[in-house]
Amino acid sequence: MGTVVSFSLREAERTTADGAAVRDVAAEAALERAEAKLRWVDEVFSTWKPQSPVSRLRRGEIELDAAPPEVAEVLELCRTAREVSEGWFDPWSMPGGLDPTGLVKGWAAERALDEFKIAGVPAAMINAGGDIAAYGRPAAGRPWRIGIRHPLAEDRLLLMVELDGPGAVATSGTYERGEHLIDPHTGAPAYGLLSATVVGLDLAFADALATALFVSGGRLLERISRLAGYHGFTVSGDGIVRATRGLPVALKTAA
Amino acid sequence: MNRSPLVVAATVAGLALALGFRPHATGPTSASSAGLTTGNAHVSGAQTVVGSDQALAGGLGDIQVKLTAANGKIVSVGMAKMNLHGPQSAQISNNVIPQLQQQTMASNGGPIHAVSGATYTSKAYATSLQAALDQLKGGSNAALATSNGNGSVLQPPRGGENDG
Repeated sequence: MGTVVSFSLREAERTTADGAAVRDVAAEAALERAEAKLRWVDEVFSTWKPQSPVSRLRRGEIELDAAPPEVAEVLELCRTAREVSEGWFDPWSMPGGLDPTGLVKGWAAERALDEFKIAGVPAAMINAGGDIAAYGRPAAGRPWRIGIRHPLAEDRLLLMVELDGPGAVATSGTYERGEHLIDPHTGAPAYGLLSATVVGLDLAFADALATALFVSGGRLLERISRLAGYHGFTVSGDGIVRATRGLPVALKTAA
Repeated sequence: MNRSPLVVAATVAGLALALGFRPHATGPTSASSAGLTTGNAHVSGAQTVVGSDQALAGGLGDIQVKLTAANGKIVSVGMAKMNLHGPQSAQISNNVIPQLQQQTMASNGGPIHAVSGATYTSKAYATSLQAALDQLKGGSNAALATSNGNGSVLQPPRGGENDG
């Protein structure tokens, strides 16, 4: 099973002279391009498809310059993320070889979102398997409200964060798919936290940093608190939540 | 359905599709396919559809996504219901979280646009939304067949499935 991606768009409001609503064909076309882009990224970056350029790169069958230029672009972002995360995110230290997956999903979601910006869609959000990027506002004066899943109860929200304008939310945890997050320092599955969430400006980095924060056992939280435009929080096995100061938690206001 | 509606007052169109992104390694994947029901559909001028993921209903509760459309256009999306039960919930709630929750509207049902964190839950969210969308798209009957709660896996709204 793959990941489900959902989009929410706020279409431009257009009406004819007699007040009838006009379909936003630009938004519909952008949606098709966004979907096509996601499928393309999957074809290129999948480590599960043996013939994808990234799979062939992993096996040493091709050099980087034989892959689409976006692969080099993503690997450059991976290098930056590795640096920023003090090595806790490291696609080059994965068992089985190079694996940029921890950043690619967020990057792909941002590229899909670009299509809506280009098409003039006033606001859009993408939810790629629980990693979310958005821009604009869902309605005038309202922020996007993102519920963060409770790590032990799939039917329950832990808290809610708000994105007012562009932003991203990524959460890592092992509660869903088994022990699949690897500590790059040991090559072994990471333990210690139930989940780690990063809220920030760009989903590619938020995605990578959430993975890094998780495998660091929370040690990266202090570093993230010093990153401009990024916040984070962790939930440890004993239920302690640690959050960076200024996490944009939705405050209780008039409902 | 009698709960206060969690309404996103926006012109929002939603769409879900399935892709083949994967986690890093070979951990056991959740094999259960979401058996979706949309049995609570209400049609009356504005159309409200509730999709519920039965795969979630056994252990920890169930999650439902409510989607309201007027004239085929989606005007609101929200969580219709979130049951709170399960021993682990109590275990983790003993700590800092209640304070945070007090600050959020999560517990009293503010509007919600998406859920982060859970491949599984957001999948349930997305497929439920999709089920509702399919139902709206098809006018009525056509899409009901794909989401009629007998364990059939929903297809993406268009295009092929991932590499499986």
